[in-house]
Amino acid sequence: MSLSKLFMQIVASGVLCAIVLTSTVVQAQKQPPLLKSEADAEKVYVNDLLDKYKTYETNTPDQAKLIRNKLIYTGVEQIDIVFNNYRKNSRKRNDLLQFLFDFLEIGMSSVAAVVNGERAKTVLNEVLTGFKGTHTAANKDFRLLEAQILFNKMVANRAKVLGAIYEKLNDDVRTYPWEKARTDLRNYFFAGTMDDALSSLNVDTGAEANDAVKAKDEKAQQLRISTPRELVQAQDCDKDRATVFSQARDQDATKAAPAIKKLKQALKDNLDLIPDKTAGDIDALDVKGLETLYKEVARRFLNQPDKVQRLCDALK
Amino acid sequence: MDFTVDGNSSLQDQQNTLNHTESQGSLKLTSYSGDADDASHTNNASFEDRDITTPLPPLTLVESDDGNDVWVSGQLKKVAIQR
Repeated sequence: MSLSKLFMQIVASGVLCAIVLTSTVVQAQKQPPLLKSEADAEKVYVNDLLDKYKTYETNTPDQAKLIRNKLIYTGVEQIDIVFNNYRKNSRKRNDLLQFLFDFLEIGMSSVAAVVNGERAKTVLNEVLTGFKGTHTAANKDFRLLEAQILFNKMVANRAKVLGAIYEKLNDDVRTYPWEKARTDLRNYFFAGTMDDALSSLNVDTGAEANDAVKAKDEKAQQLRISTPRELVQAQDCDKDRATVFSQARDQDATKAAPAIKKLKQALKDNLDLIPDKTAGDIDALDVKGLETLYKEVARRFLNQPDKVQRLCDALK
Repeated sequence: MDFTVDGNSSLQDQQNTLNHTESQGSLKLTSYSGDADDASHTNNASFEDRDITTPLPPLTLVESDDGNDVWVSGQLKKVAIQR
């Protein structure tokens, strides 16, 4: 073999090795998967932490807090893996789901009919109907945009729940024990399901619709035709109210104080007009706050002027 | 703040209602319009917040000769009913 041929063979072998090695590394980075054996190892690790937590919880709460946080991080990690698998439309990791359900004790209270090894599958079918993505007719019909909207909602819901969990990491185990953390992790898991996204979207759009209807109603408030007598009473009331408020704004406190007292007393004598306020609330108001409240009451009863007549009379 | 008023009621009744709203609610009328094409219609009134210490002079609704427009006199802006 010539020297050049030998050199070519070495180069070719080197390139081949590089391709094989590179492809292996890339594949390993793509997925952070827990193989079945890894799930088993994770279970041992978690059980060990749970045992330690029980041991430390009473006498060494600082240690327990550390263990609890490790459990939280582990739970978040596992849930994220499941969510990412779901995101990639992968259903190959049922062993991981099974582990997660065991870890978070999901389904223990709600799935009485579940039998042993079928638990994960049954929970998926009965509790997380949307999670499988093929269970309901609605899920079958999702178009890309609709699915994206739901997915965005899931991401937003997850971020919200996770933020709440992380805020409690500094709490001690008495105020935030592992059992409570586990409940929050369950919520974090469910926040990544289609059902949760659908139901929260429903709540959001329902609230928006209610606000829109309310705004429309407010905008279109129909004024009842007022009688000449009601007009005269309202104009008299307007003048009396203006006089007292002018006095209440006087720079001279000796003049302002009696007027403010009068305005407050009139309201306190008519608390039925403002059921959301107490006498204490009214005493705490300044002149500006009083003006806002007087206007609010008058506008609330624009079509029922007889209701505010006593308030008007008190300002004469 | 936007309201509607029964546009089928007499001009005097509408005037009383607008003045009453200004007085009771510490509001100031800024526009008044309507569409009388239909046999039954409402007029639209827009008000803005005003200082509680300065009551406004009474406003007057005046119907023009051809019966098409209604004007608000006094210091207030007035308005055309668009038919």
